Amino acid sequence: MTDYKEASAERKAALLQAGAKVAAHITTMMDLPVLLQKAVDIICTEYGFDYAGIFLVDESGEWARLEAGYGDAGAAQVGESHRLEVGGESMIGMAIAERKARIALDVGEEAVHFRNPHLPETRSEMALPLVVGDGVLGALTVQSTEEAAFSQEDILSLQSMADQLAIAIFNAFSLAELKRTHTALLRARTYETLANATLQAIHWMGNKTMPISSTAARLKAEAEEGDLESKSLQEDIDLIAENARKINDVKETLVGPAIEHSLRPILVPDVVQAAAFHSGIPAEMISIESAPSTPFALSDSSQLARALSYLLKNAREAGAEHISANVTQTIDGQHVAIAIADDGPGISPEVREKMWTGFFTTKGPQHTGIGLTAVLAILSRMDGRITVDSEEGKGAVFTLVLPAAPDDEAVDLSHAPDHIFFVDEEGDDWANFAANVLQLAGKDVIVQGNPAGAAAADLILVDEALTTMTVEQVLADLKAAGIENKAVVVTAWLSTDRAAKYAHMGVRDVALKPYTYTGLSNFLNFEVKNAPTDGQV
Amino acid sequence: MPKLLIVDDEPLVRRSLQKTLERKGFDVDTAEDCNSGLASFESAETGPQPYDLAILDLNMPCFDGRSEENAGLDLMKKLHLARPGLPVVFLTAYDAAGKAKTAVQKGAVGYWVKGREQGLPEFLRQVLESRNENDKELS
Repeated sequence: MTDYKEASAERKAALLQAGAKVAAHITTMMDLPVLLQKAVDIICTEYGFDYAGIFLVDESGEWARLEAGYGDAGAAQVGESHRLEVGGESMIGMAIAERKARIALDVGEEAVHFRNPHLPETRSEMALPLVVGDGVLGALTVQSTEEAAFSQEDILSLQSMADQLAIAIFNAFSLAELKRTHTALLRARTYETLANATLQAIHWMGNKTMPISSTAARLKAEAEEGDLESKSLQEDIDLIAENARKINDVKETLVGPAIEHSLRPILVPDVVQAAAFHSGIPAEMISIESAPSTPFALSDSSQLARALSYLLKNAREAGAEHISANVTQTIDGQHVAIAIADDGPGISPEVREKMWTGFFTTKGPQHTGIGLTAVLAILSRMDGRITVDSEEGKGAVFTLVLPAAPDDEAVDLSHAPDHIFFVDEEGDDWANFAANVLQLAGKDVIVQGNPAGAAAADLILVDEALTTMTVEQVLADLKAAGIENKAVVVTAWLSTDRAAKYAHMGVRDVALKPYTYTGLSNFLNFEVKNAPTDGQV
Repeated sequence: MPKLLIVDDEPLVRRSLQKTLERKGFDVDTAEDCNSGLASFESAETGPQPYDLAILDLNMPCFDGRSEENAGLDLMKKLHLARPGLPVVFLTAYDAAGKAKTAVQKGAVGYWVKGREQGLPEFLRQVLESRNENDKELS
């Protein structure tokens, strides 16, 4: 160890250099616990001290608690929640209370030194207050096993380092406090939103159920009195039916997003197309574009289609004449963005504030106002997010952002059936992908908008979003030819009702469209394995 | 008049559906679980008018008395053992494509989700008519 008693210009320079190194390491650290531990470590390393520890004043202001200490002694004391009284007899306590550095050159003789069993060899100690402005955060202790290791002149350069340390601690503490405050605010806001939504839901339910119960009670009384009048009865029944329909709509809208999600790589434009198809959006009303090399999104295609369907129907109901869907990769390369832009009347700032809350609607009493709530629920379960950008009179753009799927690798498709018939539009993105991959694997593939000639195929894949004819027509043709059990209806949006209907029409399967090499391979493996034997339907 | 059996553990669903279908011209009996459903079916099989079709819930008390989410499938299996070809339609709260496919692949002629049951009477009528036509062709 350097002889601190013989302070020289060289020694001062060395101390300043060490101080500069410590400052360079600690001033950029914003994580408080990491900063404190790194600070004591680097102070010991750069200055050559045997021990350093940082005490911070607790919330009561009465105690200074050891937050970080060097080596095993430091860890042991932190583990014991070592603390010293502010203003007490310890050097740390006094340095904090007096906002002044204290030095003990032979601590065995210094009355104010706390005899620490973890540091029995200490013979010199300096306690430096950590001061920021008018406040004192705590104190830094540095210790040496040599007697009279520090000079009074050292105080100046070490206090300068301690001042920088105090600022770094203050900044990290402020950031942590800011984060805590932000989290608390966010939590409060979330609770407030939930409470508002719950109140809205209670209010909404009350308004919808009251007419049912009161009308039913009145009908019962009128029936008992033999006083049922036909016109009034008709009106009452309509009233009950309408309110029951709205309650059922809420169930239908919310139960969908609650269904288990199964994430997989999906071709987003195909899902947008499926959403438009099932929402009854005419093909000429929507344009779908995808930037080259846009990755697959990691998503549940049925749930995403459901969310997109709400947005597309909203745009149409708001009066949009054209909708464009633009699919791109985000700048960070980690996500896929879907921008749904419409030329409708736009959304006012007041409505934008409230529209994510359940049961809020501007579309009149026929609507329940929970579509966007469902969209939010769907997106959040996919680790996605949604934002809206709109000006009144200039349409609206809803942007959905989803995680990008990892790249897929080509796989062996030799197990696939040799002759595969796609009932799909030529030029359809999904059919193109699947047909190209299968052709490269040496398979005989036909893509055609109708099933004529499909009898020779081993497997017939019918795209549910077909626009050249309905799936029902295709399946009727296949049934007439006696080959419906070769058919698999493939879809981006698997629905219970439609799955049951197609299954009852005798198809081999109703399945989600595979979008990747691996997905296609697994799909074909499954369908080959489950192929009916002769005579089995 | 076609005779139907509804098996569902929810009393209001049973009664409401029974009234709706009776109004549409069906003769409807109800049962509340798999055991009572099978007993009703077996009893009718030996009587003057067996059931023409069964409407089953999916999640209800199974044969061991415990509530089971696929209990209706077990009941359908026993009904089909007793009479292969009996048309069975599921009416359930489970809005799940996988369950729908399984039910149909195991022999159901339809899978309807509660709350979207509008159109069920017409569907039942179609099933029974097509069944009658098939029977005529076979005879």
